[in-house]
Amino acid sequence: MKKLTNFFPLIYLMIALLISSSSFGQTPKLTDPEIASVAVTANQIDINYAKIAKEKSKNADVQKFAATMIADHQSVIDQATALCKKLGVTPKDNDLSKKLNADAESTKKMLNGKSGAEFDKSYIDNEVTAHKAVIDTIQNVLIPQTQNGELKALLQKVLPILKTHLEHAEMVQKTVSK
Amino acid sequence: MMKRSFGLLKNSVYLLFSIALMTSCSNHSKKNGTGNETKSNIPKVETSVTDPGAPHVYTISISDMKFYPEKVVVHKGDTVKWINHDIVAHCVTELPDKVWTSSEIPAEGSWKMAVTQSSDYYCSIHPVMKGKIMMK
Repeated sequence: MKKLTNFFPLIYLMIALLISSSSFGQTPKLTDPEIASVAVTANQIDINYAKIAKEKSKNADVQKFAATMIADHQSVIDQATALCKKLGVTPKDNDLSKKLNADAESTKKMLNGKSGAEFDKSYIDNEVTAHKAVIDTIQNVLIPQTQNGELKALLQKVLPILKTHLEHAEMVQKTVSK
Repeated sequence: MMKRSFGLLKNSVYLLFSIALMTSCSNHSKKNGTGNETKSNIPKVETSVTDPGAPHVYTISISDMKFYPEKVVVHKGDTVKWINHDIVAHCVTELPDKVWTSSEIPAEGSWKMAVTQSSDYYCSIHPVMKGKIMMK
């Protein structure tokens, strides 16, 4: 046992080297308050798209999908806000959350310029693409960098929700593209 | 000489006592092991196994956007109870005709129903979530 404990500093050093070498890549380096901000921003953006769909779409499947997006993404925001309050963390704006917001503005303009079946198709196509991108970001950027265990657990809990949304969007996509 | 053999006898008594103690300890732990094994073999979904004729309550957990277990086999009159462990609301609705529905089950909420027929069901909020009740 004593022999084993002598190796612990070496193991720690190797883990530290592995972590620092991975941060040399292209992925943005984020703190927990910045990760919280990205999470809340991404959820709010999807609620905003869904509100446009609720207003514009006459398709029952699109309407139901949009209602689910508003309810679920609001639940995630509520959980994240409550956790930040508990941890004393204030979500902090950063390059990634700013980029998400800027991209969302142009998507909103694009959606507002469409109507009827063309709107339904554009809205659902965007939902498929956006959910794929967010799942990838949470899995490969946010979760690996999150320091706080509870924030990490919340992000892990959100992943299956987003995957279900993606499958649901792909299901509706088949009906609107007919 | 006398003193030496007394010493030997004393040592033998200690040795025998130690063996007896070790044996009783290992027997004891063996019994515990068997006990735990029996306990973990009891099916999780059944709350009563003593009276096979009495109606059972089967619990289905809604967790990470799935029904666990996805399929339950029950008898007429048994109750199925769904507990929502997710952070979003769910519901359970019969497929394909919506013969029965729970309406919304909020996060950490639950809903139960006495089973009268076999049914496929889904969550109408998340239509990709599906489950099955088989009535014997």
